[in-house]
Amino acid sequence: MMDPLASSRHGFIRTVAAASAMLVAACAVSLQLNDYYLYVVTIGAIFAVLAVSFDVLLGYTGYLSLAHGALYGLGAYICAVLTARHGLPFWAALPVAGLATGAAGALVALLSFRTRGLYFAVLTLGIGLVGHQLFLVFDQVTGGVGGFVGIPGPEQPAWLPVSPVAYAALLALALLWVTFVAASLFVRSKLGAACLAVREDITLARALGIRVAAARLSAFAFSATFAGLAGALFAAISSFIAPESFTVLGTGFQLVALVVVGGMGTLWGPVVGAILLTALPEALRVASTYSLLAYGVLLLVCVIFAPKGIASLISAAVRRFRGKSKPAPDPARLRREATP
Amino acid sequence: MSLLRINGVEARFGGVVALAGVTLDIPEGVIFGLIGPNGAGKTTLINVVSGLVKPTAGSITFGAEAGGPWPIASAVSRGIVRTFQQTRAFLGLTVRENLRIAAVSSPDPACIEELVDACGLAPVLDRVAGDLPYATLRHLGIALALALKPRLLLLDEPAVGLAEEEVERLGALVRRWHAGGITVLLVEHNVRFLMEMSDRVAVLDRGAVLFVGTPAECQDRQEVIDVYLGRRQADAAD
Amino acid sequence: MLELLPQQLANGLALGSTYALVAMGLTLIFGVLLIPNFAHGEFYMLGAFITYALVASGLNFWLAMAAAVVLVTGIGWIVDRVVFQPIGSAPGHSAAQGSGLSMMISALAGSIILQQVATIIWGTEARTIPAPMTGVIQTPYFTITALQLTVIGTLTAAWIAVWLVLHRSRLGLAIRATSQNRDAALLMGISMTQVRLATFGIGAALGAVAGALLGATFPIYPSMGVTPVLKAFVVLVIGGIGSLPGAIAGGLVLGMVEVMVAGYGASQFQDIGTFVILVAVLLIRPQGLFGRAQVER
Repeated sequence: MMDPLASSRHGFIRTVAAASAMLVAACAVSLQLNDYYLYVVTIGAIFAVLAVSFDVLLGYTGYLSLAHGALYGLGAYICAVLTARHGLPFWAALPVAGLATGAAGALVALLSFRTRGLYFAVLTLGIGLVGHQLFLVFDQVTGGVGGFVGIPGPEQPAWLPVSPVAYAALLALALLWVTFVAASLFVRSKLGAACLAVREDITLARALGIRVAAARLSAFAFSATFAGLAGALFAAISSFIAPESFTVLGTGFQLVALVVVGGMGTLWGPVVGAILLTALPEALRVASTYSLLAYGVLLLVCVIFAPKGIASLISAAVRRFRGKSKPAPDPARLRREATP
Repeated sequence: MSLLRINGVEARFGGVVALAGVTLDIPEGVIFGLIGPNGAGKTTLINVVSGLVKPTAGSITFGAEAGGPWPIASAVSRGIVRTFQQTRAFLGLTVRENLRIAAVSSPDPACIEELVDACGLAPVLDRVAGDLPYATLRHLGIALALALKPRLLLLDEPAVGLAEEEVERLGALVRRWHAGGITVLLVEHNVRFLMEMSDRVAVLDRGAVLFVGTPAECQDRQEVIDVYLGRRQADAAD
Repeated sequence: MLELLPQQLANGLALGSTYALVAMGLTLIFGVLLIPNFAHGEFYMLGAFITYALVASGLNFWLAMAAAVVLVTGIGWIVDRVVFQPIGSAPGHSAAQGSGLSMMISALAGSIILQQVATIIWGTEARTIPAPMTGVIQTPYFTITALQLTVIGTLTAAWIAVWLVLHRSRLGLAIRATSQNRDAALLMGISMTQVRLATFGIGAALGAVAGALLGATFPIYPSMGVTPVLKAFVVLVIGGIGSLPGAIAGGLVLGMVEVMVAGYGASQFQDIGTFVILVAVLLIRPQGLFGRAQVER
């Protein structure tokens, strides 16, 4: 008989192989691009890092945090301060920024998990706004509204003779690969299963001996850690950061949009979401006055016509292509039918 | 020897007394049936024993260990595992994912394979639980609890709404695991099922124990018939 | 320091009244229709800009404000029709959690679209509406401008009006029934279309009034609605989601606290004070000051 728990080591290996192939392809394509499109790739990849790790919290654990814009900023400022003020090399500052942001995230989580649902969203919104304000207020450390100038870029090894812009894109793509593999591992682990249980039915989860607090705390800390890493890389690549990059509405909501539009709870959907919603509007910037308007319309169209995300559309198309035309069951409908 | 001792457990919610000092001994290795009219406090008693509700007074002893009831997580790790009314599973997830979750805190994840066979879940492993027929869903709910290898299994109305032959399959499953050494505390409105299954029966009424004995003794007692059985059988005759 | 207190309270009351006006509309829409309307700030912004445009073309301020309220009510209906109704009705949107998230995203999209349209029409530079009244009222303890008094008076009038609609009209009964239990309301033959129109209409109108009045005191610009709507959500949570008295009390408390923090502390801590209060309230009383049972969704 098929092992019911073979949560598919093969599946994991396949996932890693696919991700690696995509990484190689993306790097190869990127090296052919001009500097502007390289920048688009870099920003798209950084947002994909944020979106994939955020999916672990939103998609797999079921908690909507709006504090992640500020956590992303925290990682960026930690990296900026360590490299520019204290002369640390980027490769030392990067893990410090990730771990410190993860720890800050755990603290936010301990506060916020006292509430649920919309209250959780609004509480984290408040924390995100406080965070953004702190970047403005502590201007001696952060440079305030004027921003933090002169962050050294990541040191480039001599054996990689590409332009700094191309190097930045490669780094961002590599971080995306690491994030994706780490997130795949997380959701396949026991903690990942526990997070699913928390999302679906917290009382039943407790009755089955799931350590609810530990599961959701680790999901929050995981996403915060990668938000910190993304922020650190963003700071080093941009050489300049300002609080306006880390707002609740600009970045915090953007993350939610990437994950929901891409497809919650799939990990690869958010990557598609990030490509569609950050890279595409940048790349197609024909009339910049209308690009934000186009972004709003795109968001609306996506959420109305692909309510379960683009990932579900792609999966359905793939299934049809393979001839298995059985549509995915709608859990909500089934839930209603299951109730006597 | 008694596995679970409930000592004078009392539970009040505001002015409502759900349990008014319940004392019960549940011997190791039995199927212990608990009946009573709606509002008698059966589910509250399960909630107290499993650690979901804190009693206002009283204690429980489990095995050799006094000092309970314990919070739900420690109760599970001691081997006290419950199902919910009509049993419950993660409806939005596939059967396989449901079992993966049960395996997280199972002391012996290998037993799940056997459970999958016994509960008839093998053909539906990749179906979403909410999509399953009602009876299969019940079996899944019980499989999730059994995967934790409980010493004491608390079943809250597992047979409600099932057809006769499905109830029988469910009974066979519970008996099979009971034979493997699990003590069962069974709350059930289906009196015939409960009487068939149980070695001992307690009748609860308005938060107090009215009677404890064998099923045969229980069916003979006039006061039990008055408060409960008479009415239920009249219902069943409809 | 202490002699400034009455003045601070008066200023805080006026500021808090505009927060309360925005929060009332938001809490109504959320409480009745379960829509977290992040585009609500744009009703406020459009109320200000339409008033501005009409005043600039020579109309009297109060007439312009009335016209703006009517227009924004219409825009509110359009937003509901285009942004929210497709989410509620489309298949696959029915899972409770998913649809709440979809609503948030579509609200965000609606907010971006309205802001950009306003930017295209009016540009990004800040403008001011000429103040319709300049009087100042002196008391022994504090001074209050006629405009501030008007804002406070408007909040009172709006509260009474909304209360009358909700409690003394057939439509109000339908709205309250829907907020209690939507399915039961539908079964009882309550027209959801009417309830939606009324709820969005009232909500948008309240936002427009607040925008027009605040626009007479502060500069207006297309993204001016962003901060007030975030603060209104804070007010919602402080007051208890879906509670009108909660929205009003929460708005007034927030206004006063902000003025105090700015007055006695430093002005850059004004917004931080807001959110520290939010965090504190939620930690002590997670269902909000006036909340009924905890809304777990």
